[in-house]
Amino acid sequence: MSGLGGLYLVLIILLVVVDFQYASWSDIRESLSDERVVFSIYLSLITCSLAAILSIWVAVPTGYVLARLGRDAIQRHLGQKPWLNRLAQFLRHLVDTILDIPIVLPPLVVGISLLVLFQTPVGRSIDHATQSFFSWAGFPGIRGITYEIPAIILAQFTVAAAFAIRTMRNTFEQIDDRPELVALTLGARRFRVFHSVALPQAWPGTVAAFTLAWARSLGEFGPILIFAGTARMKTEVLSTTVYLNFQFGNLRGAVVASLILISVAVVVLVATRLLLLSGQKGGLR
Amino acid sequence: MIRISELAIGQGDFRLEDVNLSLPDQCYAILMGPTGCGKTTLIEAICGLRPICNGSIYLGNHNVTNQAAFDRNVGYVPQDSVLFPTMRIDHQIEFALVVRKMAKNDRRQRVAELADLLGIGNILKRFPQGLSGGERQRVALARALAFRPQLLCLDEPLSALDASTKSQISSLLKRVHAQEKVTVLHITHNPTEAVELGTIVFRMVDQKIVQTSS
Amino acid sequence: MNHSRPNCFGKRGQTSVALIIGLASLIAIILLMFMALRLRPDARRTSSDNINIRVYCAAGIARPVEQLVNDFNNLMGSNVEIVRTGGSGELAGQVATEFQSGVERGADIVILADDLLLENGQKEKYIREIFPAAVQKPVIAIAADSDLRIDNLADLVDRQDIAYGLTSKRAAIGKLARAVAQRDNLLEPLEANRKTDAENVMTLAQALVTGSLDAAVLWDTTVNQVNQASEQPLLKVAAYVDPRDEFTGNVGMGVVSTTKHPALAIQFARFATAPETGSPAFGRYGFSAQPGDHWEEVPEIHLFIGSMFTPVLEERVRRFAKRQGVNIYSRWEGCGKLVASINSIEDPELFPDAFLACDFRFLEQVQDRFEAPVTVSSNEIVMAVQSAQAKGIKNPSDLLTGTLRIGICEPEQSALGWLTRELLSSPPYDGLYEQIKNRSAVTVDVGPTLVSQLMAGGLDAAFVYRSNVMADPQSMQHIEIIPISRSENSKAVQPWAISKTTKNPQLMQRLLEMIISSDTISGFEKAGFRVEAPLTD
Repeated sequence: MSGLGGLYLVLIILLVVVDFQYASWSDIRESLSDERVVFSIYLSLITCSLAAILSIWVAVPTGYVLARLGRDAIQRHLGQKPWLNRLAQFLRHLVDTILDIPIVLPPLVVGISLLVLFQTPVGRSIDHATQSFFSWAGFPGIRGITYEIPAIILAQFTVAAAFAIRTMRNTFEQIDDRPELVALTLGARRFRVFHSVALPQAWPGTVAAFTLAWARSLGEFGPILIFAGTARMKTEVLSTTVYLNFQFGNLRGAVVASLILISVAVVVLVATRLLLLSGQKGGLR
Repeated sequence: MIRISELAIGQGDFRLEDVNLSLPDQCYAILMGPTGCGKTTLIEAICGLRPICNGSIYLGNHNVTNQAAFDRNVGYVPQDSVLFPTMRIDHQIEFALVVRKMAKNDRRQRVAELADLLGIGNILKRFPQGLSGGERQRVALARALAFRPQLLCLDEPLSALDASTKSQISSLLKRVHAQEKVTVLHITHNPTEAVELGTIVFRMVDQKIVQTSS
Repeated sequence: MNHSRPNCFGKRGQTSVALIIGLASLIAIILLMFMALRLRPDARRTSSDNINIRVYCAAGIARPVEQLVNDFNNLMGSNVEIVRTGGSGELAGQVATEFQSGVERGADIVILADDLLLENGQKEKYIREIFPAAVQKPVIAIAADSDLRIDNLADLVDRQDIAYGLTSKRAAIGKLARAVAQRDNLLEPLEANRKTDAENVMTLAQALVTGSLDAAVLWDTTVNQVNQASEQPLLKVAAYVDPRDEFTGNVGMGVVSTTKHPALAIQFARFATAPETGSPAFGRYGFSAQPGDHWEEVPEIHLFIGSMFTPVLEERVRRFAKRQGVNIYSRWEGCGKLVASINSIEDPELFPDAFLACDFRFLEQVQDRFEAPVTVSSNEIVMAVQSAQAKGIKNPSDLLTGTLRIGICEPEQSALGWLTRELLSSPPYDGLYEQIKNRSAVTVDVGPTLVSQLMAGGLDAAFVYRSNVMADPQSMQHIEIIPISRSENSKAVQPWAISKTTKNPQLMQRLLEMIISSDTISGFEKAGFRVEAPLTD
C-alpha cells in the first residue's frame, strides 16, 4: 500500500524535476522580468484569491445547511410523515447532485455555458449593469463581464465553489451537532448557533476548502479560454500563459511558466495553511 | 407547575404515545426507566429539540408546545455534558446571557456566582479540552443555570462519572436545587439516585409514565 | 479532524471572530478588485473611444499579427486587440458559437491558418469578407542537430527507421500533406507509417524538439516560429512536402458578419494585407505574404454603373461603402454617356475603378482599359403596352397597325436605345427599326422615362427593359409586358469589369461579390433581371 503511494510521490517529484531540468534559473529570471509574465502572475493571484473568498462565502453556509439537513435531520423532523420525508430526501439528493455538476462538467462546457448564459436577456443586462458600474467607478475600460477580468473570476468561482461546498459539507457533517442543540436551548437563534458554535469548529475545514478553491482556480483553464479569452495583458492568467507559450512554439517559455505556476501554488498554499491554521496551535495569540 | 399531557412523539419505528406528566414548582423530579425506553427522546421534546405529533406542554401558564427551543426557557444538560469545543469556559457559562443581551457587569456577576456555587472558579479561563468528567458536568450545569430557566433537564448527569465524583456531583445537585430554586427533571436508570435526590419519582413502564412516590 | 481544540476564534469568545473574518474577507475582496483594476492600465480609458476591434488569431500567425496590431494602433490611434489565440479550428468553432448564441462582444476579425475554415464560415454566414493574407508551405522538418537525409515525401515514407508525425485530417496541414501524397500515390504508406496524428502542428513540433519524433510534417512558418522562440535553432527544414507548390496553406482574415464596427475591422484587414504595411510583417516571420490592395486610410472609389441597376443596387452600394469604410463615388447613367465619359476622362484619379455596363457592346468599346469582364446578369427587352391597347399585339410589327404612340430610347445615349435598334434591324425583324422610329412619338435617354410616360398616358407602347417596368410595382397594373422572344438580340447582357489602373482590385472584387451574393440576387430577380454570374454564397 505505502509502496504505491511512494511511487505516486516519486512520479510527482519527477514531473517537477524534469521541468526544472528543461528550463534553467536564468530562463526563470528572464521570464520574471517580462512584464507580461509578471502581469499574469499578479492577475492569477488576485483572481484566484477573489474566487476562493467568494467560494468560501457561498460554501460555508451552503455546506452547513446541507450537512444539517442530512438524512437524520430530515428523518427527525419529518419522520412522522413518510411521503414528505421521502420527498425531502429526494430533494436533498437532487440539490446535492446539482451542486456537483460543475465538478463533473468538462471545463469547456462550463465555458460555453457561461458564454451562452451571458447572451440571454438577463445575462446581458447583468453585463451592461457591470459595465455601467465600472464606468461609474471610473473604469470605463472594463466592458462588463464577458471577455473581461470578471469573467475569469466568475469562471474560476463556478468550478471552485462546487469543490468548496463539498469540502464544507463534509466538514460540517463530521462536526457533532449536539453542542448546537444545547446552544438552541440556551436561547440562541439559528444564525447565532451557526457562527458561535458550529463555525469555529469548522475552521480547519474552511481553510482546507479555501486552499482547494484557490488551487482549483489557479489551475482553471478551459472555461477561461472560452469565456474570458486569452488577451495579453488583459485576461491572461498563468495557465493561459502556459498555453499561449506552447501554442507559440515556445516550449521553454511554457515550461518556465509552468514552473512559476507550481512555485506560486506551493508557496501560497503552504503559507495559507501555516498562517490560517497557526491560530489553532496558539501561534496567533 | 409543569404539565405534559397526551404527548406523542414518533421517531422512525419508535413511538412514545400518550405521555402525561406533571411536576409541581421547584420539585426535584426523577424519571426512571430502562435504557432505550425513550427517556432522552422525551427530554428533547420538552426542550423543543424534537417535533411532537400530538399533545401539549405547559410551563407554568405558558403553552410552549409550539415554541422553538430558543424561546422555551428550559435548561438542558445532556449526557456527557456536550460543551462547546471551541469556547472558553466563562464564555460558555455566560452564553445564554449574551444571547439575552444582558449587561456585561451583570453577566460577570452571574458567572462568578455560579462558579462559586459549582466550584469551578479556577477553570473559567480554560477551554473544554483536558477537563475532567466532573469539571465538565459542573460547567454544563452552570451553563444551563445561567439564565435561570424555569425547568432544568438533566439527562443521566451522573452515569459517566466514577464513584467519588458521582457523590460530589450528587451533593452539588442538591445544593444547586436548593439555592437556585429551579424545577429539575432528572432522568436516570439508577434507582439510588432516585432515592438520594428525588422529591418526586416517576417510572416509565411500557412507554407510559407512572408516579411511584413523592 | 479534531474539533475539541480551541483556536483563534475562541480567544475573543462571544464577539464572534467569525464575523470579523467575514468582514475582513469583504475588505479583502474590495482591495483585490481594486488591485485587479490597477493592473489594467487601460481600465481608466475614457469611454468615448469605446470602439475596439477584437481579433481572434490562430497561434501560428500570432507573431506577425501582434506586430501589425501594434503598428496599426500606433498609426490610427485605434484600439485593435488580439483577445484570443488558439488553434484555427478551435477559433472558427468559437466564432460560430458566438454567432449562433448572439454574443455581443465576440470576435470582429478572425485570422486563421486555413482558408477553407474561413470559406466555410462564409457559407455559414458568420464570416462576411475574407482577406487572403499569406501563404505557408508544408515541409518535412527535423531537429536542427539531426543528420537525417530526407529529400522528399517518398523518402520519408520509405524509411522504416524514421519515426515521423503528421497531424490528423482535421488540421489544414494534415489535409494538404495527404492531398500531395494522394497526387504522388503515397497516401497509403504515408498513413501506414506515421507514428502519431496529433491534432495540433505545434504538438508535433514540440515532440520533434524533445526527441520523441525524428521528423514531422510542419509548416515552414512553424519551424521558423519555434526557432525564433529559442536562442539557437531547434528545428530545420529537410525538404518541402510539395516542391511544385501546388498545395499551400493559405492564411486569411475573416471579418465577422455581425461585427459592430465593420469599417474599422475592414480597415485593419486592409492594413494587415497591404503590400506596404502587411507584407513586411509577414515576411519577417517566414510567411510568403499575399499582398492585397495598397494601403490607404480611406480608399476612394469611382464607380460607373448603368442606370438600369439603380433600383437594385443603389442602396446596396451605399451600404457596402459604409461597411467597408470607403468612399464610393458612383455615377448611375445611361451607358452611352458613361462610355463617352470614360473616353474623355483625363485625370486618372477620376477614372472609374470598375464599370458595370448595361450590355457587353458598351464595355467592348472601352475594353482595352479594363480587365477581363465577368457576366453579372441579363435583362430582356420587351414591349411595354398600356393594358387597354395590348390586345392582339404579339410582335413588334403589330405596333405599326394602329395609331399607337410609341416611345423608344436614343441609340447613341443608351444601351436600351442601341439594343432596340440592333433588335429591330436584324432577323427576323430587319427593317422594322426605321418604321418604328418614324412612328415614335418620343425618343428619350433612358428606359425609366418611357415607363413614366406610359404611366402618365402620354404613350401607348414602348421598348424597354423588363426591369424598367418591374422596378415600380404600380406600373404592373397599367402596363402589360410583351416579350420579344423570337430574336436572340432581345437580351442585354451586363458585364462587370475592373479597370486596369485601379488601386483597389481586391476591394472591387469584394464589391462584385456583394453584387452577385445570394442576398442581392433576390433583388435582381424581383427587378426583372436574370442573374448569370456564378453565385458566391
